[in-house]
Amino acid sequence: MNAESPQRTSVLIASLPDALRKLHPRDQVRNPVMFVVWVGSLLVTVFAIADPDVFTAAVAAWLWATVLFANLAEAVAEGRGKAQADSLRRTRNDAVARRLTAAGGEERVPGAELRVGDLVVVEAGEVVPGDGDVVEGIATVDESAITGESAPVVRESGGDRSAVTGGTTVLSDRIVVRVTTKPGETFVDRMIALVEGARRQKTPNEVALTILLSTLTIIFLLAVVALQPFAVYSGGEQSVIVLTALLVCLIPTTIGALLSAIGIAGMDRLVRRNVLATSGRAVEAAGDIDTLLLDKTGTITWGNRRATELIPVDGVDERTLAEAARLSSLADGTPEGRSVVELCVERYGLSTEATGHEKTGEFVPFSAQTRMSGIDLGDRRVRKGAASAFGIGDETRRIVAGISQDGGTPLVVAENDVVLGVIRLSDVVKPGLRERFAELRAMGIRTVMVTGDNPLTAKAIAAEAGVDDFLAEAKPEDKIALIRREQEGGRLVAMTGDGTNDAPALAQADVGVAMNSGTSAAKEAGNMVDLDSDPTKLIEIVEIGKQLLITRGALTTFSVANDLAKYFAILPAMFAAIHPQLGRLNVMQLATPQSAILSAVVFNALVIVVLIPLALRGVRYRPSGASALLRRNLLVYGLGGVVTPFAGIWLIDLLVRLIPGIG
Amino acid sequence: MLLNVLLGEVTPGGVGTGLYGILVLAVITMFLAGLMVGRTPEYLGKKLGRREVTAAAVSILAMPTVMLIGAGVTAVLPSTPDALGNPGPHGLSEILYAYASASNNNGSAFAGITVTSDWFQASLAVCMLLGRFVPIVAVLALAGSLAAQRKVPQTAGTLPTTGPLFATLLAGSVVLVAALTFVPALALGPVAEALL
Repeated sequence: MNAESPQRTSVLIASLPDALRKLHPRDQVRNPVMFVVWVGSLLVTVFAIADPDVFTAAVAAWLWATVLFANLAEAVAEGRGKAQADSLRRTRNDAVARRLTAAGGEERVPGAELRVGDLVVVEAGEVVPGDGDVVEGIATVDESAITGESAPVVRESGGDRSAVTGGTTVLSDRIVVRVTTKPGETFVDRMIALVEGARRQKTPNEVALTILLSTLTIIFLLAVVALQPFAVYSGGEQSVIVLTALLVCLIPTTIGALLSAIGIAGMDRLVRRNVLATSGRAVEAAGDIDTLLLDKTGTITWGNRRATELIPVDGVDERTLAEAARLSSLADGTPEGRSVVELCVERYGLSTEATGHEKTGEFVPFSAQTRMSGIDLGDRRVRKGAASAFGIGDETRRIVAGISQDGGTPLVVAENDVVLGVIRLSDVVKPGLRERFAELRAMGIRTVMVTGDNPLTAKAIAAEAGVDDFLAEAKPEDKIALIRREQEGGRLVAMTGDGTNDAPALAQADVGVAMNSGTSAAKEAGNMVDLDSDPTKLIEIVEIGKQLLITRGALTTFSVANDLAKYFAILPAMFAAIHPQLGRLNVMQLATPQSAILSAVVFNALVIVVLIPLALRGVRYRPSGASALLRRNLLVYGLGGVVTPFAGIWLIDLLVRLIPGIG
Repeated sequence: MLLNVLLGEVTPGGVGTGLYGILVLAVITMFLAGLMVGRTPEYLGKKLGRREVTAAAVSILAMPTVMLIGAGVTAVLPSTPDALGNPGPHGLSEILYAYASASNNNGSAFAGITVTSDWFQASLAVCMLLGRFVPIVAVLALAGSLAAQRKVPQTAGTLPTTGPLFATLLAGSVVLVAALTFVPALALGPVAEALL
């Protein structure tokens, strides 16, 4: 038991009313396995009322408990989403929108009356009334209501950062937004529907599994119904209660009860990682992905280039260059500038902070005219900037050309117009990616890096990151062509994207993850949206998809393997009276026929409750090859499924035999 | 022998239906195994979806349905004890064998049971018809659906259908699917006989 247990228990209790509501046959009939249990419970209850005794009443009670526990699993899974939906609903605006009229004036209308194509004005402190694209102005927007991220983001007209979401708050400036969705179909509305599971449809694999489970149910129904004539022939007619108990124990109730909870929880795991999927089908497809297309910039490398090397020229001491480079970048707040300071600190042991003397210097910011930035400190004028901004000699020219050819960016450092050397800015592969790509390879997924760089640079970075393949000098249409080519070979392709350029490729891919920071066109085209706008999350999405399928498979195996022990419990109990030699099959040494049957029914019900946390959390997934994964899961859930009920039923029997009238 | 027939003819030497029997069970096995490794299940490069599972399910259902219903009705018919050569558990074994064999094998019967009455003739004939042709139709549907699919290329994430792991798994599902279906009936007949 762990610290979460009390909380978990309270969640179970809180979900009880919902679970009771789901006892309605309308809800039950959707799940064939549990519907059979539901009918069985009703049947036994009728017998318990007509002819009351302890055994019948106990069996009836535990059969109802089985149905209830199944409902509970679903209610708990749904409950997690409901809380999230409530907080989202609060952000849904009933604010007044300031719509621009054709005459150029402004009118106030309720947000619910906005139509696609309307232009609305939003100023600092106001809530964006609906989803749309910024067509005029630039503003900082607080999107924490949707993303949970408190740092404001910039939204501006044109380009790939023009989309705003209804329910977010403008913090500064004034923007004009063209509304792109109808009220009631906005992003927030879709998100609410999604987390509430209102539009949940069974995914293809779930449908196929339901058919298999129904088949097993029918087989067992036949086996149990046919048992009665054989029993009559053998001279030991069985009561309906015993036959119902046997049937409920044999049909795959464990997986039947948890199936929908597993699906809901899988979606929920995505939502918790701030990913919204438009359908469960997309989540499932994510588990099947064969090829992953990853943009180089921002996904494989940091979005910004970093200083990786200092090259002195004309016999200048390397340390002198480092000191000048540091000085020129001390007051430079750009990521590139900070990376220069970091390099000087790491490699040359210089100080990160400016000294008192250095603080007196005057920062010279970068401008498009001078194409350089730096600091004036006394009579020292230290600058760094583009090579073309300085008068450079042959040696410097050669170094600069070399860096450019490698795909890097050269920055020349000079003091009082004397060139000291060159800083190499280059793409740095994010740490840990090599290992993740190796994991993906083990899972059978090929990674392809897509970049606009020349093939030489692309090759170098691809090799460093450990991707399987790369597409250099890629234009948007090349991307689609690549996706089509992969799909023609029967492979499923996943990609991320944010720009309007990416939209066709996102639509073509089997799993298209759009960045929340991207355009509405990209978000519409993809089948998932990452609210954190983190392209590496695609890897996690694949893992969640796989985990979802594995959990279903593992619990089905567990459920079917359980039947073996139940036969050993119930069959000897049923027929020991006619054929005493069958008592030898009573390997668990269960006390009486009644206690054996009741114990099996109790185990069958309790195992559902025990497995609810596993169904919600998903079985543990370690990336590895298919055979290793199967061997492990088969051992845990197959063999475990055979052994566990023997122990469980035996233990429950020790308690049940104490009940008067049964033991 | 009875066990063998009930296991659905998958062991070599059955009467002509062994291969498709085991292929259907392989489809079911791969479906479960595929789920367990986190991919949409596939077998020999073909995806196993709703249609394939339905066809496999119908094929699996047919035999136990006709056999259990036929044997069940027979067991309670008043005329039955006269037709049996032996009373008690062995008599039940005779009935089970007759129907199992008719549904799924060569239609033979144990010595001792007389299957010449109208009921036996008619019911065993129906068993033969449905127990054989329903699976054949279902298997053809399954084959058609698989053949129409494009082959999915193999990757490291594809489950290999060779080697001891797959063999064990397949054997396990054969035994489990068949055993779980027939154990209750067998317990009263052959098992009770054996433990006497």
